[in-house]
Amino acid sequence: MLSEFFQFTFSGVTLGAIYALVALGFTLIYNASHVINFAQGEFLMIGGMGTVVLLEAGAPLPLAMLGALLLAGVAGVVLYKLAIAPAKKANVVTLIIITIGASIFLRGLAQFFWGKQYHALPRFSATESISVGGATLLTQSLWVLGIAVVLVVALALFFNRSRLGKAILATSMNKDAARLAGIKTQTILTLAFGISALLGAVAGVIVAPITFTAYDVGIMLGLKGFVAAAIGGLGSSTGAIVGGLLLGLSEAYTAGYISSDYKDAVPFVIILAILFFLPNGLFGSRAVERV
Amino acid sequence: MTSAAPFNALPDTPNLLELSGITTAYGRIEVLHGLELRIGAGETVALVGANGAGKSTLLRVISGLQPASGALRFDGADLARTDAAERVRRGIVQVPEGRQVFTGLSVEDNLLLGAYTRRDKKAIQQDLEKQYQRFPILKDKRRLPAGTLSGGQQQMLAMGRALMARPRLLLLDEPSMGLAPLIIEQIFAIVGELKQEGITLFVVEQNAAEALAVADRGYVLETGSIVAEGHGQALLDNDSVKAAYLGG
Ligand SMILES: Nc1ncnc2c1ncn2[C@@H]1O[C@H](COP(=O)(O)OP(=O)(O)O)[C@@H](O)[C@H]1O
Ligand SMILES: [Mg+2]
Repeated sequence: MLSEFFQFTFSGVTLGAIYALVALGFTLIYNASHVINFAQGEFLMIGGMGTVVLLEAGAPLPLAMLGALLLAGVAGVVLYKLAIAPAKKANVVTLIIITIGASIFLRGLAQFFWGKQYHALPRFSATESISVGGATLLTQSLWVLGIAVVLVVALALFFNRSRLGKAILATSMNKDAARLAGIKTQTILTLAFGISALLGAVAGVIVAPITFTAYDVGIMLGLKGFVAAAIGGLGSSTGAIVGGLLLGLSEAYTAGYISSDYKDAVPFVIILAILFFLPNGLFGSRAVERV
Repeated sequence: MTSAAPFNALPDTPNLLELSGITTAYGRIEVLHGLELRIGAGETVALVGANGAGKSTLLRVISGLQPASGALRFDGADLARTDAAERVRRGIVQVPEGRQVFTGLSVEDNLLLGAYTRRDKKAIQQDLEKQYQRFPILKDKRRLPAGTLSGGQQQMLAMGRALMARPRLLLLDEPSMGLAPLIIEQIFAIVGELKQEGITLFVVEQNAAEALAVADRGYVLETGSIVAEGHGQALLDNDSVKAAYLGG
């Protein structure tokens, strides 16, 4: 009984860490530009699929991953420069629709150039799993958790300690005041999209050995990351992490104790509950602060 | 009051800022109609006018946040191709209306962000200490989020932040807005200090009496056009200005 519980918890936390990274990407872009970037999931796809394609082309795994991350970073910057920045006068709803269009476009490109097959990435360690308290723990899960923790700490340091990180925060809090301080907010927004894309791509690469990857994995992962961000209050980094873990765990327990048929319904039930009972999420700031 | 300016008081120092034919619009609504204005190096100039006259818009034009047609020259150089960040680097620094501090960042981070365009770490640290001397309350609260400060303290923070950029021309947009009389006095005392220190000041106010009292010269802006110009005291004594802006 207990070993079952451990098992579900492990897989829940692993999934949760992935959702948290996606949610952090949503949060970063939302804070910097007030855009909900529905192309966020495509960065995961580019991370995973890019690695697959480079591996097939003969690159060693670390190099293939690095290449895929770069590609995703570039995609993030290009998304901002070509699709978001030119429409900066448009209202937020229009911008959100643009990101949905961009995600369909990116998915189309991936399908065209990389095909529709599902691929598995090799896991990062030779050993597949270890046994803990009667439950099987995938070594790849440890990679996911370790990398997620490192990224979260690195992000926290970046935003709390570095001049550039603070400039991003300042831009997200008050764009005009940031410009009056001499911050080039266009550059800052570009950077936010780039970092966000990188975060997504890392998530896409580290999860690919567990869940497979394909041109269309971005839809579901992106949506779940969005739900995680919304649980956390859309705009709070702590909220994004907690939201990701909550979502991952609820999914894993639902799949384990009820039925895996309902697993994908969990995020949608949660989002409805959140919208109904806690429109600002668990960690949402008061609406007045966000106007 | 729509007749031409009764005074023609040109600054007797070289121009630091020169605007000519400045016109700008929000969408199809033109809000500034061919403004002419000059600020001499070391001068303190006031711009007074009713709510909605276009004062903030003019400051946004000068800072490069609002596009405009016409010519803008700073220290002899045309600013047409100079973006907002570069204007700050050259010394055009604004304290915006309503303070606009970075509410979620600490007081000290707000001040340091004011020096964003600078690289001279040592001098930045010294300037930070200077602001703490000027505004001791900011030192006491330096670790607190700026959003927790009172209105007057936020005004001081916004001024300190701007000073961290080492302004040559400091634009102040309604520094007294929404503050208690005692605090307004403090703020204008500091404006007086800055003037003593030789910073060129452009003070925008609805509170015409305070602004014109501290200013060498003043302009009166009415629905996007300058309708009067003159020495501060002279404008204060001008009957039509009194009638329109000082409540008789
Ligand atoms: N962002 C904006 N969009 C549209 N109209 C604006 C905007 N900002 C100001 N206005 C209009 O421009 C005019 C001048 O405004 P403003 O420069 O803020 O005046 P002031 O600072 O003198 O009170 C007003 O009629 C105001 O309604
Ligand atoms: Mg104003």
